[in-house]
Amino acid sequence: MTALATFDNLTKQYESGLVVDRLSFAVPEGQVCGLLGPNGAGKTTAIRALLGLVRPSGGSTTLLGRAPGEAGFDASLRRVGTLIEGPALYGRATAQQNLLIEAAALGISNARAEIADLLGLVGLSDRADTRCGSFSLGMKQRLGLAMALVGRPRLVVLDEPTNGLDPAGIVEMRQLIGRLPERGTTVLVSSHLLSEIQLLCHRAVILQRGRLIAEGTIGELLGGDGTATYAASVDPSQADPARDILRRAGFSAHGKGDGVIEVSGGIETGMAVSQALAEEGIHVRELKRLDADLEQVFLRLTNGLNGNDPGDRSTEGDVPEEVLDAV
Amino acid sequence: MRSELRKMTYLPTLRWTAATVLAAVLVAAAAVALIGVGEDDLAPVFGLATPTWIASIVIGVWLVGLEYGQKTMRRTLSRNPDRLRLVVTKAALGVFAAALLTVLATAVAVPLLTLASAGHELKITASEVLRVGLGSLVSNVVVVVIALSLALVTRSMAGGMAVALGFFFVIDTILAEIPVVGKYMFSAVSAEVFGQLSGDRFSDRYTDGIEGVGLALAAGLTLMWAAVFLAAGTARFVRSDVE
Repeated sequence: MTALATFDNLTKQYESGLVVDRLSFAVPEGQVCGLLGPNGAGKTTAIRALLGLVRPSGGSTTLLGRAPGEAGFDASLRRVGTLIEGPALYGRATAQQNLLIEAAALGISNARAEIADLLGLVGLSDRADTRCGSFSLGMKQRLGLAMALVGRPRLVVLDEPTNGLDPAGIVEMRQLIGRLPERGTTVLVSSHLLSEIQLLCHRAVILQRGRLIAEGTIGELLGGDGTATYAASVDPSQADPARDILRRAGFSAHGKGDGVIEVSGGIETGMAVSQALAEEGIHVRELKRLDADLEQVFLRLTNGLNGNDPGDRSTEGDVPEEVLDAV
Repeated sequence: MRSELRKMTYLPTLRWTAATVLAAVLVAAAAVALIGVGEDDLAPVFGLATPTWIASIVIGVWLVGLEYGQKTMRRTLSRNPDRLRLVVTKAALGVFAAALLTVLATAVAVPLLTLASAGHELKITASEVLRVGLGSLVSNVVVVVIALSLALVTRSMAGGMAVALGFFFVIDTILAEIPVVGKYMFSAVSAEVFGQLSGDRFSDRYTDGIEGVGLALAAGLTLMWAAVFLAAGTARFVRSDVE
């Protein structure tokens, strides 16, 4: 599988200390890859280095096969959409104007049709001519995602896209991101909300203090056998049809009352559950993995203390074999 | 270039700046009509030269400070990572905007100020206002580049504006007062260029107390100062990480 982004022993040292420490991993095409870790783990710095915004102190990165500063990197960057540390918008310009500025930066002259599509995708069609300075944070994040998608990028890099969103906004953003691989777009998404991203990603890289402490598919990281159990919460009046839809989709589904359905089977990501229901017009209010989650894995890897030195492998005594294999 | 042009047209700052400059021209014309030109000949200076000069500082700082103030620099660079090209594009657009604004303000000021002074004994002629406009045009295209460079150094809208205003209004004026070398400082040489281009009637006001170095050398030194500031701002911008 082609890797659209690679990190090879990336190191970034500031005066205040080492932020990224010999980080190596790749983002395979066609997947949603999570870059996870607590605040200050080095996720944003790693992403900035990937995009050429900060200079590495050591190691290297490539984006669509090109390293920052190398011939062809500019062209690679134009095939990559970004949303870094919140939406960077011109608040005095309208949503449509922000998108037109983005299109012009990519050399797209006639972008009105694509922009209308993107505004529809993120649910902002009716606010196209509103100055985005008046938008709520959720609307700004959705517009930021639309800007990242201008020009149909091969890869989008999203840094903490659910930051500051309310629960409904998080679900909405998760669904938007989850649909991107269907559009042919690979996703690298960073977050400190491990259980949240677990529902979205095919694979994940977990960082602590700038160092990679685990990497693999979500199944590998959770140490499971490829099956998973989720609790999907829907409107109680839609619980029965939702259960039937999930069964027809090949899952084992059982109603638990109050609109909660327990779903199990070979579920690659939680998005498979919400998408199966969304296609039939049923909105999932909440989705939670019941059998295991990445937060537990992370706490086990670090002995429950963020301050632990991730390089101290003596802490790995409690880590499941499967997780160590994936590192 | 097209995305930078779109920012300039979609965002209201430049329109507001132009409106303020035109309002200053109107106020100056109204003042001339009501009380006359006065012996100090200040109407073309305060009605045209000073507003366009301050507007050029605002434009220069805004072009760069906007990206830091809105935290859009990382987005701009993640689409077009060639930082040198971005500086050149923004500087070119800044020069264009300052020049366009000065020409527009001059075009409005010429008929208004001449008409306003027509009823008074002391008059302002169209050619005199045009010469002030010409002096402003040359001065402003340099000022906009220096203001942009200072914003590149400070990497902030507020910082850029504070440093630029502090530099143009205080620091450089003080530097020009230094014996022997003061006449080579930016404010001294740029004032000499403005004064020479604006004509005898206004020259004294701008070159008062300054020992001239001659128009050719003053013009050369003015450009040299602009190049020095631009080089410093570019070096800082190109070498820095974008947070």
